[in-house]
Amino acid sequence: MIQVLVNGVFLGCLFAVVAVGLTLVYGVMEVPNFAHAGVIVLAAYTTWSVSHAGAPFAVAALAGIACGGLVSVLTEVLAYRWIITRPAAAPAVALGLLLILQNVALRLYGGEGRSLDTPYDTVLLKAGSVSLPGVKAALIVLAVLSLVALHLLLSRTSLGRAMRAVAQDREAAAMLGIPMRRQYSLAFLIAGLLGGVAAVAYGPTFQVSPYMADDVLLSAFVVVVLGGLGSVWGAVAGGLVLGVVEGLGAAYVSAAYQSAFGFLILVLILVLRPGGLRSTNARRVA
Amino acid sequence: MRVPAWTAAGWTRHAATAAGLTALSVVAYLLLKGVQGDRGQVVLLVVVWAIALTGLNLITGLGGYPSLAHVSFFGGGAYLSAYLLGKGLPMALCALLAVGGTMLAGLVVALVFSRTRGQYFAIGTMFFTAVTNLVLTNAADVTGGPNGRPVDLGFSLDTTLVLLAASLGLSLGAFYALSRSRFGDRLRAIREDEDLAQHVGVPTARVMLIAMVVSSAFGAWAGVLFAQYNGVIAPSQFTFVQGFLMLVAIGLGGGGRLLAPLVGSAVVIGFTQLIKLGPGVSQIVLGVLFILVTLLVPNGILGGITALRRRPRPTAPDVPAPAPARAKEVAS
Repeated sequence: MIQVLVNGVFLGCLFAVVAVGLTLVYGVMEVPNFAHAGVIVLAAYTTWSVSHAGAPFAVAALAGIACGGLVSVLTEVLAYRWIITRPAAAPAVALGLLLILQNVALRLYGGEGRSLDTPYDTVLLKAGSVSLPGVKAALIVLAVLSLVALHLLLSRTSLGRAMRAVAQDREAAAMLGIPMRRQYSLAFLIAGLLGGVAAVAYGPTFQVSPYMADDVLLSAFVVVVLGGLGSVWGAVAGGLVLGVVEGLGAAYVSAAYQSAFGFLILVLILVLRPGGLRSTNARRVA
Repeated sequence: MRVPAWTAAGWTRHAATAAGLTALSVVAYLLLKGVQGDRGQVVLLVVVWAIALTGLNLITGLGGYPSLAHVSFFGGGAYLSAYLLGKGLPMALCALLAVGGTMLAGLVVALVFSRTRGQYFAIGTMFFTAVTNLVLTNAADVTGGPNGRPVDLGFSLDTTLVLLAASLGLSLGAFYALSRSRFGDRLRAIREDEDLAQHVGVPTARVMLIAMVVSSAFGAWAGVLFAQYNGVIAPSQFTFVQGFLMLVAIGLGGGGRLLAPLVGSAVVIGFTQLIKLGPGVSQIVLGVLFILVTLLVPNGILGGITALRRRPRPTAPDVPAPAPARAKEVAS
């Protein structure tokens, strides 16, 4: 039972890191960033190829995270920036970008899965009957660290204050002289860096492949809906809830249908609590 | 604006459309019958997709809602008919039950998601397709698992071809009728401004619900025919990437326009099947093309052509002035 919960927390941290990136972008720009999965894939492949070339893992990880930030900012500059006045086109553009990024990965690295080796592969933490592989422990640590860093950024710096202002009311923020374009790029940069962290952290537990992030992305979107689009702490809480639910479902019902439990939750929320568990000013239901 | 059906101009227009669609069906039949091999497969896929996408054109084109669930309805029709046929039921009954069952699934999906708006609708329907695919892959005793299952022959090949060609014309005709009905106007109202539509008395959730159920019928019927022609079906044919490509086809063709499904599927299938650019590249090209069209020509290829034709030409001053601006939808 505790083992199942620990696995759930692992999944939850993963979902939270991805979902915070999504919700940050949505809060600032109202874009459902499906392309985030593509960013994660490219970051994971970068990490793989740098470490495959013989560099130490820490360097490879940093390269992967940087690549995530770079690709994410590129999607904003090249595509999302041009549809800021037409939010209805956002899902279409986001999916188009996902198609491009995934197929770039497919083209560059081929379709077969690659395994990412880490120095902490063989570590196994044990406490009584509960065991936690080093890879999963590293993910939890990385997730907590990056979320705390994000919290400090959002709450303690003027950049963070400006970003929260943009998320609350774009027009008012623009009137107060906040440089909007910089905020958009910054949101995508942070989202991309978090995507890179997610890629480096969970690449080793799965295989690196062009479609590795699809399931995670869908679950992360459920998390975002659960927490309310645009709410960072909602995303963290939602991530943990969904991670535990999927972990329990996989352990006690059927592992093959793990992500279907996320869908079940999504349906339940939309039917029972159309405002999300934690209400935000983002509107979703008529 | 609609052409009033009771004027002479209206009837001429309807008759011309009917004649055009009949001719289209005949051409489709000749192509299906005459073209062999790889190219024959392309023709088949274009026709099947056009039938399925006519349904998507209702909800995404007219209603403005990006549905990624359509490929699940397509797959639902294919798998249900194959399963029932395997149980030994007569083909006509199988087809009927497959379409009916898929419409029931469409109703359930619509009940949950017809109240959600744009972004949430896209996320929800995308997830629905992912879960459907998960079931198709994992429920191996019914669906044959990841490698798919064979489909028994219910219709003879020639019957299938006739049905395909006839369904193409008939479904486009049904779309023509629906888009000119009050129902079509309501969908357009939702696309333009959902709050306003609701305010003036359009029952938005109910209209979306009906649109989704009707669209699932088109998808399911196309799936039945696809399964009959192809003889084998697999989950990889019904992934959410396919669902997204369907959306791309409607967007490229020009959402809400009568021939958008045909033009869109010809472009998408042509890119993915005919032009061999190596793995992934054709999809990259499609993605770039789709984003460019979304950014630059929001009304798609057909909308762009209409706009070009209607633009007055200042370089030739003695050309007679263009006809007074006609209703936008008429020219499509």
